[in-house]
Amino acid sequence: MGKLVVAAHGIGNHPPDFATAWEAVLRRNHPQGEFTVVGLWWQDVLEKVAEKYPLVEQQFAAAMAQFGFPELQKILDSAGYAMAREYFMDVLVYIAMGDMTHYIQTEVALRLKQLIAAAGVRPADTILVGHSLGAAALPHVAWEERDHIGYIPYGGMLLLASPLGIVSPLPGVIRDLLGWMAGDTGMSRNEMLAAFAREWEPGTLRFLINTNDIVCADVKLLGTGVAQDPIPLRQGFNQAERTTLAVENPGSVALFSAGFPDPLTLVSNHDVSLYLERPEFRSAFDHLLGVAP
Amino acid sequence: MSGWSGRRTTSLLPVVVLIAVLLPCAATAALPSSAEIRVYLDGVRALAQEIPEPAGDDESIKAYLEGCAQRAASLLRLADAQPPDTLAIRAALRSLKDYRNRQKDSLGPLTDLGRGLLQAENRGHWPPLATYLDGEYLQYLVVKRELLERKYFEEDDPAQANLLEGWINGRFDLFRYDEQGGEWYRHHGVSAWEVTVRTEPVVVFSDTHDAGVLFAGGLLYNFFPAVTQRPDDPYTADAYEGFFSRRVKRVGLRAGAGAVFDGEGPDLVLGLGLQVRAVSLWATYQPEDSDWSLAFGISEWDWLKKLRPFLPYFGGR
Repeated sequence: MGKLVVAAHGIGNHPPDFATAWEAVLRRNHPQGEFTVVGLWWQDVLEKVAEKYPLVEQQFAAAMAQFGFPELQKILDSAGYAMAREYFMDVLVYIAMGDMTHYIQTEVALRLKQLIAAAGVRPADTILVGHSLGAAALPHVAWEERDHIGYIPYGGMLLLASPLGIVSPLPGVIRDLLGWMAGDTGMSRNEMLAAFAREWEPGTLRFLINTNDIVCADVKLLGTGVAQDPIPLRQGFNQAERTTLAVENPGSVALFSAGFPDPLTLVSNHDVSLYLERPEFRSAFDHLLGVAP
Repeated sequence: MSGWSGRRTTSLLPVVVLIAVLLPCAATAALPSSAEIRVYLDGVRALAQEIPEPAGDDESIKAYLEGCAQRAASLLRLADAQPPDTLAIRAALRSLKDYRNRQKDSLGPLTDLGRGLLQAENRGHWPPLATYLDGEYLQYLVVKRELLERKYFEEDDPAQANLLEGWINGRFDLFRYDEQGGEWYRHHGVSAWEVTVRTEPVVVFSDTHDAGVLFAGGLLYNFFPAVTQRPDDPYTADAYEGFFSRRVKRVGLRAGAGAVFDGEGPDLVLGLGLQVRAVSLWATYQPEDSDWSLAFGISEWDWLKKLRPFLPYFGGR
């Protein structure tokens, strides 16, 4: 059966068979490769946590409305809140509540183990492909496994639009995604990236970063003529961090520019199909399949 | 519960029998052979010898490899002993793994030679020994999931809390998961202590059954079952319930402030409560009337459907 490709989705709505669409792209672009694609679906876990831990309890808002303060209820019922919840609650519930981060990662790790066991392959013959928040969860799970067995056993990891570079403005309140990996070891972001990159053989780890994707890069959007970064956080790896990755695992960072730095294309700039179609992805994937150097 | 996770609960009584059966199994769980350890030891020693003297910039990787070799030699002595002490061998294997992780994280800058040697040790020589830790890792995941599920998503727990409560429980040492924490109140790293910060409906025990709502904080203690990995399904946990974990589940103290609705608008009410499972008994005080009362509260708002006849402000009469 060749390699097992485990695809992990990101934020937003994804059906349990989401990987079918990924597989169609991979089959079309890599006809010479021998591989099986399975989806690591974990949206239900994110939703379960998001439903338990909303920003504000619906009941609290209802109670406030009974007191004569209906504004909170109106906000919770608004389309804007629904959209914010759709996109940002997934990230918040994943990283803002430490025990829930443990819970989600444990569930993802178990599902990964079950997928590999069901396929009857070795972890070394497994390629992990994560998009968006899935491209943060996979490194987290792999690092947790390293802590327990002493190395990362997987054959390769391709991280599309990974938010791992996001820097928390209040690390004492909410750790950033890289800080979570370092845990209580005291490792700096650079040290953490170096340790993670060293775990992989050259060519088996690849961060794919669209410089017009606000999830993984600090995009200056062209709005009214003046380019502005709309998010007051650093989302992407800085130059020093990219250098660390490049030194410790040559070729592990692939920067490219696709789409436009335009508010109207923010969603399409982050789309998984954009990443899967990129030549940077194709070459990395072919290398992991063993059909290209 | 999703189809992915599972648990089977049984009473505590069979645990004694199960432990009696499983302990010998644990003692005979797969361990690396002397030959496998020797291959690793020889491989690591050979890698260390590739570093010329003086080691210079490769000092850290040389020390790492020599440290690995030293611990592998100790592991080999244990494996060669007759009869072999299986528990000691497993402990030594874990110790070697922990040493490797710690040292890998603090190697500092490496030369190309150092990176190559690290790769060779890490992905070439170590994996055969690491396979003997796979089972422990899976067991760790299964037990951890079960206990976190029990603490935060058990059926008695409200379906909805809020981000603040989740943040507190994941932020402070007393409440958060800590794999290395050995405190008495932790079960496989999961703390039995939990904070609640929620709104809760209450009904005052009085002639009028005034209804109210309290914004309350609480400190709860969860009674966990004994959790193990199922022998016939390694991805599923077995939970062995005792009296407290099955019947009581969680107890704690609450304090809150809110309002009761007596038909003439809301009145301020303060309360101190004792919670058992999802139910709280409150001692409430209404400053306006200088009146103490007892009240009944339920932390699961779904129960409101059953209480609606008493709750005019929440869709009742």
